[in-house]
Amino acid sequence: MSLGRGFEFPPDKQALLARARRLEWWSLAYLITATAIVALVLGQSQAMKTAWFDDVLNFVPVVAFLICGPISQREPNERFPYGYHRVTSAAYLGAAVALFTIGGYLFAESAWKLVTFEHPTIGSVELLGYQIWLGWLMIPALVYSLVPAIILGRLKVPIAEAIYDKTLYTDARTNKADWLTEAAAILGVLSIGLGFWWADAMAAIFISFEILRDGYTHLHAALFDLLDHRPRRVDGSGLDPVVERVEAALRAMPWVRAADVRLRVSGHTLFGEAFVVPASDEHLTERVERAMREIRDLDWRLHHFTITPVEDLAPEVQEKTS
Amino acid sequence: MPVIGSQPTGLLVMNFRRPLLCLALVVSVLLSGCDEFPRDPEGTLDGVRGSVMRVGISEYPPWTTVSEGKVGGIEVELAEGFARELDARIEWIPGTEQKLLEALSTFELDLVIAGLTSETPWTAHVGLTVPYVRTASLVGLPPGVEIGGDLSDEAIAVVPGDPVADRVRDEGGRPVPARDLSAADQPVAAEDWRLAAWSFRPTGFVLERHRHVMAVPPGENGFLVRLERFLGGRGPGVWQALAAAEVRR
Repeated sequence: MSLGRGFEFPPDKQALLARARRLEWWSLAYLITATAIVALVLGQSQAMKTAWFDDVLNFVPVVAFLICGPISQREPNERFPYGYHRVTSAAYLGAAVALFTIGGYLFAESAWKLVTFEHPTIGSVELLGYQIWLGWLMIPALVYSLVPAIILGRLKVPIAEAIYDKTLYTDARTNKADWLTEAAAILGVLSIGLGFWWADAMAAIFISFEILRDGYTHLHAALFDLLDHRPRRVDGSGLDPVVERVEAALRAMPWVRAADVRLRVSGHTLFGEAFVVPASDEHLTERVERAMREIRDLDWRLHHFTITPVEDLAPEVQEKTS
Repeated sequence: MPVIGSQPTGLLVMNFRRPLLCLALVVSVLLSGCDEFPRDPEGTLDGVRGSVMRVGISEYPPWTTVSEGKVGGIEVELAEGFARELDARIEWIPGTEQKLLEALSTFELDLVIAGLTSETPWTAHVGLTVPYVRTASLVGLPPGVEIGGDLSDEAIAVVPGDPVADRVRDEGGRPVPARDLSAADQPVAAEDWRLAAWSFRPTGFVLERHRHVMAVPPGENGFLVRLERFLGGRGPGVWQALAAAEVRR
């Protein structure tokens, strides 16, 4: 009983997980082609360079999901009595640090190009016997790295919400938000063609700022995860109501006089405990065990949930619950 | 507030709901009334057309020669052809490669010819054309001379000061300095067009590849693309002219 459930997902979520993994394999294959194609037409444009880095950074959540997913489902053992759930939190933190540092570097580099009046040179290439301005090839390359990403992103968001997976959610959001980056790069390239040398650096600054901002947001969220903040919805839009639901369920039990619940996020799952003031000590062990089972059945994410009977709740909790 | 996926602000959602449509709109507005694309930020092409083209020249025979105020060489002929196409008169400015490229990077010149290749360390500071001719330095054999399957311990004649000597060493060969390779009676390391002019037999040992380019001011993409269009397809002709000039010499 003390080790909690041995599996990560209930059977109905397993099917969704399999679908998510298929989508991520598709994303991986597609990202490889997209980064290769954009790399072929990079030229000297800083906007293209930052857009390319943005594409490369998209590998991080995809790879993190594909590698960490199976690890997080391993059974708890002697060495890791709480299981491997948190491997996804570690991956999430790593991804956030990568976004933040690369975003910062690209931002500084793009700003430097602007203040030093660096004019991007984009010449022509020979393609099928025609001389064509390289800028004309950059645009379809950017569109190619944009359109399938949007579609994949849209397919992934609902799955990420259902299986409470932040790595997948991050990836899906990045895919969906990608068009802003690519559109900025396309405008940058066209502006170079129109003779506005500064537009390239400006577009690059915008793109790198977006990367930097993403990095900051995720760094923030990853650190809060590590500090065991209260569970929030996977899209970060607010507190997850699960704490209130557990509290209400406990208080509804006739033998419970007062209860206080504390939950934290561990990968896809929730860990936590309740302090319960029983009305009487009669059948206490039995009641506590039954209550733990019932609470775990409330939400599939509740893997490790324990109940500690106490004489009294701490004074500040009494105040909150009264 | 700890957030996982940041929501776009209301403004962005309002304005950019239909990204592709929006982009198409912006693009069509930008491109309407564009007869020349791409354009020069500093107006080099417009400045040169029907007027003066300031061309920096640094000597590197047979690509460029400068003697007593007279210029010549393959690249001079190309620059003159390009100027004719733009109805421009050339003002020749001889100087060292460094000084000329520095001036080019600040738009004091319109073109620099100096037998440059795409390996030049100036790539980040000036604009380079796409290579208009490709040549290679390789091991060539005078009539009657043979070598084995590799270059190990083979004495290869090299013009003193030619960086190709290091590549010969890389391949296991032994570079031997020689002033006049055309008179050599041992394997030589030289450009393919010279070997052709001397009727030396080229081997498969390619030591260096040279992608020849010209330099324009940074970011002057209109001028650059126009020059590239002029140079396009001239590679074989340039190669023949190099070999022919070597035969006359």
